[in-house]
Amino acid sequence: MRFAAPRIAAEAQPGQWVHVRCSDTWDPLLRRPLSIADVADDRQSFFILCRLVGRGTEKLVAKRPGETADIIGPIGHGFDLRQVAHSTPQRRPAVALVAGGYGVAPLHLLLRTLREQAGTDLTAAVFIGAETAERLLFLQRLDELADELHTATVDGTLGHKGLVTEPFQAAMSSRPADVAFSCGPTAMMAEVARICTAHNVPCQVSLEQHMGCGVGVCLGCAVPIRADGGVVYRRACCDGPVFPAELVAWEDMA
Amino acid sequence: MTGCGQPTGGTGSELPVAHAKHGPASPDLSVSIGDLRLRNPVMVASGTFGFGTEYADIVDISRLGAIVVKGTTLDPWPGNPPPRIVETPAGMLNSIGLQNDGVESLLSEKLPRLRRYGVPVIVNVCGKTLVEYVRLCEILEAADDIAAVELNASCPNIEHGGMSFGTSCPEMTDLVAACRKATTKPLIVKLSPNVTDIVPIAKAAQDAGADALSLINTLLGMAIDVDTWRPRLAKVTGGLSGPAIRPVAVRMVWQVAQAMPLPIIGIGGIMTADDALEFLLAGATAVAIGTANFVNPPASLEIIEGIAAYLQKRHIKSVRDIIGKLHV
Repeated sequence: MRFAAPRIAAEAQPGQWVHVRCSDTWDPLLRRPLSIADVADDRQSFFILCRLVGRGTEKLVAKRPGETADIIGPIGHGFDLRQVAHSTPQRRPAVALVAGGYGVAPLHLLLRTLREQAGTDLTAAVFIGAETAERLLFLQRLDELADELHTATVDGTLGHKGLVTEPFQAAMSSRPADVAFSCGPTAMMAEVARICTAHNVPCQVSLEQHMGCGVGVCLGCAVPIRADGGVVYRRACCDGPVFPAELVAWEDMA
Repeated sequence: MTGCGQPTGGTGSELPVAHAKHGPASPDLSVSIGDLRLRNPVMVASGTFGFGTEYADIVDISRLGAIVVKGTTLDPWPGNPPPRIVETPAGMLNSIGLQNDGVESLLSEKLPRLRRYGVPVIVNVCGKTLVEYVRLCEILEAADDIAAVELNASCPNIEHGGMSFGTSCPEMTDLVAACRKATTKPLIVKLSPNVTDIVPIAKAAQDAGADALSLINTLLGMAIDVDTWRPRLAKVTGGLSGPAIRPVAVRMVWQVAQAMPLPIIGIGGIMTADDALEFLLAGATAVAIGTANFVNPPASLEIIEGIAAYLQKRHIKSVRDIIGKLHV
């Protein structure tokens, strides 16, 4: 879906998100957090990928062109692109993006932005997985932006049959990236984090959690982050959603 | 940001009161909670508005009647493991576990940032033991820019303290009496709805020296994922808030208002001015907006405007003229 919102579109950074009121009644009550998947070239509008999961998103996708929506955004700390530039001063940096399902949304804007900034001075390998081929989103655009596109489906309808972390692990074993970025189901990101740690590759993950307010007051979206030898709760909404993978206490992630 | 879909203000009812001699002057919205004077009766409830400044970019917080800041404890509390919130029909369950950085951080970092907005600040305090509540009252007593203290005797999400004080009359008496000795500030006690009869608890708080009562805190609830057979909250149970609980809250405000003269701050699922007016008519002197802040950040301001419009339309000079005026 595309929303005309010049201020959000102008400010949006890869990995940031918007909090959308889907209903104009009190049921469903809460806003829905959605990643910014792309920004129009004229920076007057932005795009989201909306997964139909329940009554809130059903109401949102039922909106017709010209209707308005109540949106707060852009919110949160997105991906740190500087890590790419700093990763390898000697040669073209190589990035790996690992997406599961709708987790492709923020990674698409990330890759687009990296490409705009670095042009061909960047090697990008994209690994995208889903249950089945028709759930692999943004394939054509990713293919245009990436140097390598690896697909995986659990049912084998396209690409590698199995989990996306399997081709990612194989690629990292033969030719590790300098920086990795991931967004998708928690179990997938935990595995990506494990692989990256094993290869000593920095990795940034965009965490998902139930959201209440979206502005940092309700503390509902707590995620366990390692700090000072222990684990503290940080807010996925505004301290994240992107965190360094090695700081996430994956065993405590719900 | 657009407003809510729900209508606010007058609904064309035939009920009173029309005595305006002059043109439509702005109605007087000011109310008093004990010694605490508020420019309007609309506060934001503890835990739903952070330390005020988080919303300052999108809401003119200087217009609020008061800000009740996030529940504060003596030492920092880490909070409960996630998931901490889940949406339920017209409501939500939370089990945050009073995560906060402790009273020193409140006084040194958070309150100074709020000072320039000129809004009365009420600090909600919680402890595991009575001694902790008393110590918090003593510490806050020295802070000039704190307008009142709200004792959280009703948090359902912590293992010790909180709700355990608010569900037993003797414990309520001991807690309020001890805190009363520790502070000269207006002392508000926030009550739990998780009791069979709220009136004796409210009376215990009143008799022990409370200046006002906040009611209600969240209702203890639970939701289950039938696919995984697991509770949706990590701590299994949580506090239910939102429009789903409003009728319960209105009923409890009414019951307590019937039984005693203490000012009441009505809380529970208020989303619109009409919702707030229900509480005022039931006997609340003020209201606090909670979950609505998450859904519609300017809700509290819309409610202030809606109450003013309602009074103006009916030629009622002061909001105080409708408090407790329910016809039964």
